[in-house]
Amino acid sequence: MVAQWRSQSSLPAIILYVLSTTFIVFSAFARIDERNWVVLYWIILVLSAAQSAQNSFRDSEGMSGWYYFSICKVEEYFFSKVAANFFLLALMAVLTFLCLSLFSGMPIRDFTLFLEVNIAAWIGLSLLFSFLGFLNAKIEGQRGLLPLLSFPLLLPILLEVIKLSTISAGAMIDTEYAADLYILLAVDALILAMTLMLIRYIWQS
Amino acid sequence: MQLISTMEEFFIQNGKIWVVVAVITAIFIGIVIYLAYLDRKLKKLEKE
Amino acid sequence: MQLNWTFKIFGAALILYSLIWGLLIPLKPGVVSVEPRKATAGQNVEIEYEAYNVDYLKDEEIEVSAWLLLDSVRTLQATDIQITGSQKAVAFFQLPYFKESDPSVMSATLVITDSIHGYALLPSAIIIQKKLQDSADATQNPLFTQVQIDYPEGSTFPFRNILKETIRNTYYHVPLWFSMIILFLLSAYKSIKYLRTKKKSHDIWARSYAEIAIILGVLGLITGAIWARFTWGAFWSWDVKQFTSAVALLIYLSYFILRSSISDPDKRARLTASYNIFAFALLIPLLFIIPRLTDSLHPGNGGNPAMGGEDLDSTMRWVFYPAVIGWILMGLWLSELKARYLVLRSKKEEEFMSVWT
Repeated sequence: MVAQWRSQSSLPAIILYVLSTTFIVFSAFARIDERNWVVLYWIILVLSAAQSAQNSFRDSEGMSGWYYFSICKVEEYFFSKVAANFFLLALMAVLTFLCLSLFSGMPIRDFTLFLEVNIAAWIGLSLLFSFLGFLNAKIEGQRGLLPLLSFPLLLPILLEVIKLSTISAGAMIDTEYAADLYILLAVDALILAMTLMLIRYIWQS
Repeated sequence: MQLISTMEEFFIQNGKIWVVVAVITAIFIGIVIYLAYLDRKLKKLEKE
Repeated sequence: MQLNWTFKIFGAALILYSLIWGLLIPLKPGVVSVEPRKATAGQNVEIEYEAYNVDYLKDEEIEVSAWLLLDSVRTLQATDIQITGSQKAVAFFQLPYFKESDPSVMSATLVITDSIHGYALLPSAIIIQKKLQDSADATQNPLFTQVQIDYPEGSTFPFRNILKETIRNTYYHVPLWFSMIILFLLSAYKSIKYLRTKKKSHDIWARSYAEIAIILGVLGLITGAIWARFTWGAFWSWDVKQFTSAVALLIYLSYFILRSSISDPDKRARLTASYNIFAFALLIPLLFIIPRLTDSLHPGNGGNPAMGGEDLDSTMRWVFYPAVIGWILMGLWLSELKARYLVLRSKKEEEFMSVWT
C-alpha cells in the first residue's frame, strides 16, 4: 500500500499548476475582495485536484490493472489512492493558500473554521475525484471529458464549502453555520458509503 | 349562466376560452392516440 | 415496469382533466392598480382603483364596498364609492389623524368587495404620511368598521398580482418536475438491479427512464423560463429551482455521454450503472443544500415562487394533485415504450449477430 502512495503523481507538475493558476488570477484581478478570494481558492483547488486524481489512476489501466488486481483487494487499492489524493489535496491547499495570500492578500479571519471546512472538503473531494478517476481510467475513450462532467457532482460540496469559507473570511454573517458543517460531513459520509458499495463493480473487467 | 342552445353559443362563452380548451384537448388526445398506437405496434412485434 | 392499460388511460385522463379545469376555473377578483399611492393623515382621499375579473356594470343592483386596513384595530370604510367603468371605481376615504405612538409612515391595505364577485385586497396599496391632529383642525369622524369578507359561490383560483392568469401554469409546469424526479429515482433503482443481477433488460430500462426524465426536465426548464420571463422579468434568474433542475439535467447528460464513450456493452452497463447510482445519491443532498444557501445569501425571489408547494390554495389542490399523478403515469408510459422498443431492437441485433457467428 505504501508503494501506491509513492508512485502517485508527479509533484512538480502540481506545483507548477497551482502556481500558474494563481499567477493568472493575480494578473487578471488587481485586487480581489473576500468573496472572490474564497471562490478562486476553491476553484483552483478543485481543478488541481481533478487533474491529479485523473493522473493517479493511470496505473490501473490496461495490463497494469490486472497486476494490481492479483495482488490486493479492490478496497485496499482504491483507498490507498484516496489517502494519497487526500494528502495531495492538503498539500495543494496549503500551496494555493500561500500563493493566493502572496498575490492577493489573506482575508480569512476565522482560521479554525476554515481549517475544519478544508479538512471536511479534502475528505469529500478526494473520495469523489478518486471515484470518478477510477471510473475514467476504465474507459478507453476520451479522457478529458470526465472531469468536466463531474462538475455537477461537485456542487454539493463546493457550494457548502464556499459558503462556510466566506463566513470564515468574514464576508458573510451567519451564526447558524454548524448545520452547514454537519451537512458537509454528511455528504462526505454519503460519498464514502457510495464508493464503498460501487467500486467493486468498476473494478471487474 | 345563459342557456346553451347551440354548440356555437357554448364555445363563445367566457371570452372564447372554450375554443382554446378544445384546441389543446384535441392536440393532447391526438398525442395519446399516437402513443396507444405505438404501444400496440410494440406488442405485436413482441409477440413474434 | 410495465403498466396496465387502465393506468395509462387513467394517466392521460387525469392530465386532460387538469388541462380543462386548469384553464377554465376563473380567478378570484383582484386589485390591479391604485391611484394615488401616497396620502397624508387627516386628508380626504379619492382612491381610484382598477380591479380584475369583475364587471361592475353587469348588474344595476350591485353593492360595492371598500376598506383601508391601517393596522389590526383601525379599519376604515369608504364613505362613498363611485363606479366609473366595468372594472374601475373611485372610493372616498376620510383618513384619520395619526396617534403619537404611530410610526412616521404607515402603509394601508385596500380591501374591496362587492355582492357579485367577492372580495379582493391589495397590500400596501397606499402609503400614509403621519400628521397629528392640530387643535384647530375640524374634528373628523372617520368610519371605523369591520371588514366584510364575502366569498362568492363556485370554485375560483387565487389571484396574485404578479401572476394573474399565469397561476394556471402551476398545473402544467410543476408536475413535469415531480415526474422527472420519480423517473430519475426509478432509473437509479434499475441501475441497482442491474448491478445485482447483470440482466441486460435492467440496464435498458434504466437508460429509458433517464431519457424520458431528461426530456421532461428540459420541457420543465423551458416552460419555467417562459413563465419566469413574464412574471419575474427574465428567462433565467438563478433561482434555486431553476439552478437545481439545470444541475440535475447536467448530471444525467453526463450519464448519456458516459454511455456513448464506452463501446463494450457489458462494461458500459456496469460503469454507467455505478455512475447513475452515485449521481442520484449525490443529487438528493444537493436538493436540500441549495435552498439553504440562498436563504442566507439573499432574501429569496421577489414575487411568487414557481413551485406550488407552499402556496397551494385548496381549490388548486383539486386540479394540481391529479395533474401530478397524471404526469407521473404518462412519464412511466413513455419510458416503458422506449424500453420495450430498445429491448426489441437488442433482441433483433442478437439474432442478427448469431446468424453471423
